[in-house]
Amino acid sequence: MLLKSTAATEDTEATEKNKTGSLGFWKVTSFVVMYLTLLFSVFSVTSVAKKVLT
Amino acid sequence: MKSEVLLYVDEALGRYGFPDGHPWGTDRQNAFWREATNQKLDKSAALSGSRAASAGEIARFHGEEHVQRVHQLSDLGHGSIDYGDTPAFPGVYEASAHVVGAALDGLARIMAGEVLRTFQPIGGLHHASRDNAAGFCVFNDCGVVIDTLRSQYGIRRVAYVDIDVHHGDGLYYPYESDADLVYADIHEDGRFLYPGTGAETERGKGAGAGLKLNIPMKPGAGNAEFMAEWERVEAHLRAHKPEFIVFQAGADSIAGDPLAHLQYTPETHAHAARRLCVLANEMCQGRIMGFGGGGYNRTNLALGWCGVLDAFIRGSE
Ligand SMILES: [Zn+2]
Repeated sequence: MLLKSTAATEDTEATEKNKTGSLGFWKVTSFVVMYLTLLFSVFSVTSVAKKVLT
Repeated sequence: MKSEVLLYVDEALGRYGFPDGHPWGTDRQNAFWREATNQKLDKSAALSGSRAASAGEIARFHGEEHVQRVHQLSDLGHGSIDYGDTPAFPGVYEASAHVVGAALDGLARIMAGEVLRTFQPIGGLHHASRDNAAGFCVFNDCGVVIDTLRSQYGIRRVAYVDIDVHHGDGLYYPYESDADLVYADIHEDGRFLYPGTGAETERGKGAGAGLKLNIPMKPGAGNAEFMAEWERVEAHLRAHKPEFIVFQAGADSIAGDPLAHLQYTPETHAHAARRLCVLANEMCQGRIMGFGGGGYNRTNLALGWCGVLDAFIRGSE
């Protein structure tokens, strides 16, 4: 769904029609990114620990 | 007569704005008013407060279910009225009813011969369809004005002119097949911006075929491109001879708007308003109503709308 409240971008991204942003979109996105980063760090630490231990 | 122009600004209209950092906040009317008083425009236009439109008046354009649903969400005080752009807040019904009520009051005063022109900065809610809110627009004040002109005043041949950066889908589709609604809309190309409609090929259907003019502009288009296309709007109106003009002067088409990509200066808005006054004098006994529409950069909306008001004040020069 095309939303009106999506902020305009200054570069060529502006040419994408299907910008599915909303006021809450960026909040959700940043939360997901943060969660994935955390998950990835835990995963890295675990695999390093495994290597050290084996 | 102190003035030929009536300006609608009051607290109730100022309350039409959404919370939590929404681009359409409650500070927009004040941003305009500060600039209007700076330019002393408030001295040359008569001022009027608004009134609340009744549910029956709103239902001249809208389905009763939509009117009732907005009332319920307003009492509830939260939730979304549409798909996510237009949130409910406590009092959203009353604020929206005042936007429509101000427009109807302006229309009544014009039809009574008290004034020739009105300008209502908080108005021009051109995305609301008959059955739904959309794109920050709860009730379609311009649609209510058009349907009221027809049902209460017997005027059918009305021109709707829209220079907001977004396509006026809430006016185009309800009147797409209408034989008497003369439609002219210059907006950013729908391939790049909400609501995605308003292609050049959308010229009206059935009895309305050829009566509608959609002019999509490429992102980055400026004054020169606007002025060239504007000539087509004037020719379109002249060809179809309206008896009354409704003008949506959205300031989000001015360079620097946070939601869009056109590069006009406020001069486009002043130019359009000046020319529409000339056309109104020629064909409509001077009768024209202006609405602020969108605009999310406060400096832009203040300068753009003051340009329109100034042109309306000078209208018969
Ligand atoms: Zn707009």
